[in-house]
Amino acid sequence: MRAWGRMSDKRGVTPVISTIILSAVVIAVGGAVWSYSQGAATIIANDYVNGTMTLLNEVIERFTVEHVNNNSDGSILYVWIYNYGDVDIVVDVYANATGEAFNYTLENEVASNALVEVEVSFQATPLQQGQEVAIKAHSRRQNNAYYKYYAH
Amino acid sequence: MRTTNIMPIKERRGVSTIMGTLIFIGILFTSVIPMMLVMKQADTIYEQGKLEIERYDEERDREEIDLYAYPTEGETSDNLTVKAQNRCELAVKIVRIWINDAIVSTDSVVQSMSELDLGSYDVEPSDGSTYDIKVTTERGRVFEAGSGTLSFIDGHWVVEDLMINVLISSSGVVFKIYVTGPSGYDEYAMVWKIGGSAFKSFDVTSPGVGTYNVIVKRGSKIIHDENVTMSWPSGPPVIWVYS
Repeated sequence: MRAWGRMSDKRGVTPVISTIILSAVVIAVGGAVWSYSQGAATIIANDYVNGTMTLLNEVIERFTVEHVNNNSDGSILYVWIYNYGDVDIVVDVYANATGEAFNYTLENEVASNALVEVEVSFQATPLQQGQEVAIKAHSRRQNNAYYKYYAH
Repeated sequence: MRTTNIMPIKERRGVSTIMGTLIFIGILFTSVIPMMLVMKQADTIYEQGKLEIERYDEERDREEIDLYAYPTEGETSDNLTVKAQNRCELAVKIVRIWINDAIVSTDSVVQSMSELDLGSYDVEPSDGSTYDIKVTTERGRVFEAGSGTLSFIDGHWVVEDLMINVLISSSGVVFKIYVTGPSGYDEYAMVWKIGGSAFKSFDVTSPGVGTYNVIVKRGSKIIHDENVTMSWPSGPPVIWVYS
């Protein structure tokens, strides 16, 4: 009887300790998983929101080639870009004239509702009167605006 | 004795399960659901933005401005008067006036189906010079003057022709247009609607200034009867009649 009593006492202590240890392990592992989950969820949500906003800006971006002109000797082409959208844009302007004269001006920043004059140099092969020029304004968000111009 | 040994084992299992479940529910409510809500909100903002820009594009396409330019004080004037007539259902804000390559900034709002004087501008005309006028709207549309290019020759403003343009969009296919005016001017034309509208231009350079009567008939029925006044150079050299 004494032996049984001692044994049952020992078994009474062990379950408590094991419960505490098990609970501690559960809390520790659970806390780690919880913390990781929160961090991962925040990162995933931020990435998703940033991606969606980038896509939205691409969709709502609006600009046009409003006016085109050239100087008297045809060495410079002036292109006016009007950003009538709600987001600022960065535009590359390409001008392709007949006779394989191709020139461009890159990274022109146009704020929302602003008009910006972009100069495209034709120093090497000046534009001739009546020469046809195809103009393409290409934004960094992959949108385009086109314009056909005849030099004067 | 065995019974008392089994019970604590069951209790131990219960504590861990409950704690694990609580942690799982905690993760669900503090991480996963907020993440999904944020994503859903981003989707909503995207859809709203897309809808707004589609509406904006539709409004932009609906803009319709007739632009006129003519000398302010007769054919020797240094100034040009610019007028805009809004022919669409929406108010249109004009943000810029182009006189050749010169820009005049403005913020004039032309109400629906009304006309607005955009002002008189000193262009300091030199002999042999030509002037092209156009305006830019806030929605990014560019409208050129329907009066065409104005030339300043020998100290006078000159246009090639004085015209009455008739544009018919009414239902029907075949229309007859009668234009009568001063000095016995009497012209008749039959037009067919192609691509949604029919167009006919009448050269009134010969009688010139005066009041003209334009009648549009579909069959024997008069669908439009309007008197218009050509007053160049005190008014635009081109008059548009819409039916």
